[in-house]
Amino acid sequence: MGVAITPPTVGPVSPPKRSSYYIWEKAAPYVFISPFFILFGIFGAFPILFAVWISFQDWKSVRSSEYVGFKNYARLFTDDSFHIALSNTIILGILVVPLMIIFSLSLANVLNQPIRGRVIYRTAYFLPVVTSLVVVGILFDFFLGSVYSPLGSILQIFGIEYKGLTNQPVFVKPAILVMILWRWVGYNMMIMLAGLQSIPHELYEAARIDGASGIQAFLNITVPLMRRVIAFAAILSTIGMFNIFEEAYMLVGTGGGPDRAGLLMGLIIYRQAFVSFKFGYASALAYANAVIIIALSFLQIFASERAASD
Amino acid sequence: MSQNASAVAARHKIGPYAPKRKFSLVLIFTHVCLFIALLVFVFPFYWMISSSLKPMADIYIVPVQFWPTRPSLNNYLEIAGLIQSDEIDFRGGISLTRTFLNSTFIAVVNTAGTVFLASLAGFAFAKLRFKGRNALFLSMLATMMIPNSVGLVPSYLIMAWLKWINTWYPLIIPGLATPFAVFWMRQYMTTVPDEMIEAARIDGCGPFASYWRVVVPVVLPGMAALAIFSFMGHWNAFMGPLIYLNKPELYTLPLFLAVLDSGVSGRPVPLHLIFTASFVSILPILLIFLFAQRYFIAGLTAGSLK
Repeated sequence: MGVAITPPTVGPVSPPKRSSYYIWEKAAPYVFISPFFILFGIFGAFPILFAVWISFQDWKSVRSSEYVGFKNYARLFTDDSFHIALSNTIILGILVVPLMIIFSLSLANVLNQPIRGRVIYRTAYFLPVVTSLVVVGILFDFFLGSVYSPLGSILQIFGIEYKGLTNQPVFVKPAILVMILWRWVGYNMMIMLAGLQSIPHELYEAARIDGASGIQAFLNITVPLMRRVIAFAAILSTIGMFNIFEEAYMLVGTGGGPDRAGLLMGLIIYRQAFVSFKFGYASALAYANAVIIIALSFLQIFASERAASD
Repeated sequence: MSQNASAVAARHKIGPYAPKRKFSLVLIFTHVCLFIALLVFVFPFYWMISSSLKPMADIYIVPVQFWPTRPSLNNYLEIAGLIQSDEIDFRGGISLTRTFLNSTFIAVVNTAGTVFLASLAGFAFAKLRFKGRNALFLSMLATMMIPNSVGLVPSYLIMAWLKWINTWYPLIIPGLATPFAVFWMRQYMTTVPDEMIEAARIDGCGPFASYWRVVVPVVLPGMAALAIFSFMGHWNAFMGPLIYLNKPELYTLPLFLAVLDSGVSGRPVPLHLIFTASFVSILPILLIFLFAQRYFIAGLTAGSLK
C-alpha cells in the first residue's frame, strides 16, 4: 500500500542523448543479430568465398597447397566421370521433374475435394517426406537390390527370375527415379494443395454452370492458375536433383553403381573431396554444379513468367 | 421446416465438388487409384516393421514371409545392447541406445540454439530500424541460393584447422546459423502489429523486453514450426557425421545405420537389426509428425506461396 510506482522518466519517447538507455536502443539491433551473423560469417558466408580460392589450388594435405591456376576447371572438360555424372543427373532430372509434377498435382487435385478418407490418404502420402534419407536409401537398396526382397517373390509368381535391379546398369536409373518419386511426391503434393486452396471455388462453379467437364475445368482453370506453384515445384525438384546425396549414397555408393549408371553430381563432389581428397577439384566441381543450378533456376523462372504473360 | 432442410441439402449438392450420382464409377476408380498409391507409400514401412519382428533367418529366405511367422522383440533387445550381440561387437560395441542419445543431444542443442538465435535476429530485421538492415538481410538471402556442396571442402578445412574433426562441434556450431531460420522468423514477426511494441516501449520495455515479453509469446506457433523442422533436419543429418565422425562412440543414428548396412566382410548384412534400427530412428519424427502435422507441413512447405 502506498508505494507509488513511478513511471520511467527516461522513456524511449524522448531519450536524452548519451544516456545508457539511448546507447542500448541504438546498439540493440546489432547485438541481436551479431550471434547469428558471427557464426554465419565464419561457417556460412566465408566458406563460399574460400571455396573459390581452394578451387585454384592443388592440395597435398589440409595444410599445404600450391596455386595451379585454372587447372582444376580445365580438368572438368576432360574428366569423363564428371561428364557421366552430369549427363546422369540431367537425364534423371528430365524424367523426375515432369513425373513429380504430374503425380503430385493429380493427387493434390483429388485430395482437394471432399473425398472420403482424404486425411488418411494425405497423411500416408506424406509419410516418406518425414523419413530420413538414409532410411529411404536402405529401404530401396533392399527392395530393389536384394534377392530377399518381396518384389522378387511377387515377380516369381509371374515366372520372372529376380536377381535384384540395382546391380544391373539398365535398372539403376529407374531405381533412383522410383526412390526419388516415392520420397518427394508427398512433399510436392502439399505445395500443390496449398496452391489449390487459394483458387476461388466460384471459378469451378461458373465453369460447371457453363457445362465444363471436370477435366476441362482442371486444364483451363487449375493448371493456368497453378502455373507459379508448378514452376516453384519444378525448380525445387531440379535443384534437388543436382544436390541428391544421401539416398543415392546408400543405393549405389560414391562410385555410382554398375557402369557408373547412378553416378550423380552430389556423389562425385563428395567422392572427389572425401574419398580421393582432391579438395581443389572437388571445389571446382561444386562451383560448376552451383552455376548450373542457378542458371537452370533463372531459366525456369524466366520461362514461367513468359508463359504467364502470354 | 422439412422443405427448408431439403432446400439446404439441395443447395449443398450444387456445391462445387458435390459428387453426382452418374460419376460414381469415376469415384470408385479414384478410390482404387488412391488406395493403390497408399499401398505404394505405406508398404515399405510395413515391411520395415514386420521385418524388425523376424529373426535373421526368416529375412534371408525365398520366397519371403509377408507376415512374420514367429514374431519376437529380440531384435530390439539386441540392437539396444540389452542382450549379447556379435553384430554390435564387430562394430566397436556401440549400441543403438548410445547413438540414439547422441542424436538426441545434438538435435536438441541445435534446435534450441537455432530457434533462439534466429528469433533474435529475425526480431531485429522485422521490428528494429538500423543502418545496413536491408543490405545484411538481402546478402543473407543471396547466400541461400548457393548449394551446400560449395561449402563442403572449405568447412572441412576450417574444422581441421580448429581440430574439430571427431568432435560434435562441426555438427552443432555451423547449424546454429541457418539463414532460412532467420528468414522464417522475420516473416513471422512482421505480422506482429507495431502498436504492440510501441505500447510496450511506452510502458518501459527495452528492446530485449519487447522481444522476450511481447513478440515471442505471439510468435510461439512460428517458433514451434521452426523447432520441428530444425529438429528433423538435425536428427536426419547424414553428410556431416559421415565426414567428421569416425569414432563409433560419437556416431549419430543415420551414420550408425549406414555402418550397420555396410557389413563386415564374410558375414551377411544384419538386415534384422537394420530394419529394427531404421524403425526406431524414424519413430520420433513420425510421432512428432502425427501429433503436430499442422506445424510440420507449414514449416516444410514454407515459401511456396508468396
